[in-house]
Amino acid sequence: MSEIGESHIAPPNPSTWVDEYGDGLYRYALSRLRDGEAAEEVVQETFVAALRHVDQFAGRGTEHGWLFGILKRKIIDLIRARNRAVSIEEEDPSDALFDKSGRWRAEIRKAEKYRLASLEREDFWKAFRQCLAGLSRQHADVFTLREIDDQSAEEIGKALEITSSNVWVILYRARLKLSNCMKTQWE
Amino acid sequence: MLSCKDITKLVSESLDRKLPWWTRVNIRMHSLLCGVCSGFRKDLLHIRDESRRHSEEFEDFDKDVQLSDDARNRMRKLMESNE
Repeated sequence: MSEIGESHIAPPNPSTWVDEYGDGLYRYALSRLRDGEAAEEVVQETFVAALRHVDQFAGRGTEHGWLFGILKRKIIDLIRARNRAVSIEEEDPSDALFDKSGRWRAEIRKAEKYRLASLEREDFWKAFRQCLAGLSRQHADVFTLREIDDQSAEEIGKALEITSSNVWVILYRARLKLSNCMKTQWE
Repeated sequence: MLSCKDITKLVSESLDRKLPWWTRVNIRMHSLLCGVCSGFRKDLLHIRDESRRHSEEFEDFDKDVQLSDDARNRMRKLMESNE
């Protein structure tokens, strides 16, 4: 009798994984990494790791959730590796936006009529993805972890082996550049 | 007196950590008088709100993208050889 509860849980079936989950995993990875080759790499590593540890799956949750869990860890590993040895990006958009005394530049004041909240949802996300691609890799990685994946500055600092105050500076620069870019998309 | 550059930096930080109350008052006072800074704050809050509530849109941006045939075949073979 005790086996009845478990009998309807299908055992993992690795031979179907690539066809069933490959595209979904790839799209997720691509959204975080913005690099097709790197995204393929983490998806492949995910399948290999899942196969190796298939006995640990044991029907806990869904295959889908299990594979995405592995993928997310692989993405963080890759982000850490590709930002290692990168010093804090010097790229600072504030010189283009503020004058020497820290006032908004006149052309920025003049262009100040659009609010991002007035964009249609579809346009908002199109601008978001396009402008994110225009940030330096480190800035885009940190920004995505913070806003999309809701990681704290402390968690991001730990993952990327930088201090929280470095994370704050990166986020500030990323937000300045991204919000300015998004507003100028449809002028 | 804090400049717009100082204020925007604090506005950004307020999304990542709790700022002291007098700093928050400073941001409020400045934003009452400065439309550009208060607009910047609204934009950042909107980005935060959309990101948290509709992150699926972030992934859907690539909804027509698929693994390349090369990658798919390579992964299939890898899975077969490991079975």
